[in-house]
Amino acid sequence: MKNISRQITVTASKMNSDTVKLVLLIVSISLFVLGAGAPAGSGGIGG
Amino acid sequence: MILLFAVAVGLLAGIIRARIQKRRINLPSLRLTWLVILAFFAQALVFQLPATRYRVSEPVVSAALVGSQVLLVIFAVANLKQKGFWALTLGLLLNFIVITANGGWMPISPETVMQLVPGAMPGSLHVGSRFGASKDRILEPTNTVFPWLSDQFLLPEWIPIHVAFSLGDVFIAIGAFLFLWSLGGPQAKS
Repeated sequence: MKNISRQITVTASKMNSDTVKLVLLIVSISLFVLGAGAPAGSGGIGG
Repeated sequence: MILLFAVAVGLLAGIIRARIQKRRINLPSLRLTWLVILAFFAQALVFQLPATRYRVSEPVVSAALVGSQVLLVIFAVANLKQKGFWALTLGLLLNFIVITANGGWMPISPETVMQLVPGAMPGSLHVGSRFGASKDRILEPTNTVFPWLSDQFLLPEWIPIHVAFSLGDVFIAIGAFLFLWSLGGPQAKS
């Protein structure tokens, strides 16, 4: 468990903060687009 | 899901634009992003998750849709100064208007449904019923408020994805593209 925790900490500290910001930006816009849009697919499953 | 295509294309275009012009990617700060997460979570419960989407009554589904779109309107207006958000906000408002004007559902005509599902028997599509587990309700155009804002457009037949979309969806796709394209542009002056 300690090893996993240490690994996560090391990986997170290695990640560029700009990359994290970009990922959060993309996730935010993707979720907005899915929530705001209302297309209907052939299976009747929109989103 | 078709709208995510605009996100992917816009992101790719923004990255290529930044690379060509040897710039760093712009990373604007969006305000109130937690509203987007909250709105998406509400919609995921009533539209996406198999464990919950068929168990929720239709009035609750439509209330969740309208309520979540109110949250998204607040988010969009709070970020209106960002590039592309004029189109995102306009598209959202067009969808929001037609959905609220038609009882909390996006209207879709029986003709459009027949084009989407060519194998469906005409009698199996009940006017007034929900179209699958989507945000749409099947309504005759004569009984639809603002039918020109409904899910009425179809992709060309040579595209293997069958989906109906609205004018609002078009603006949302344009807005997503413009916002992500702007990430590769000049740094905004603070």
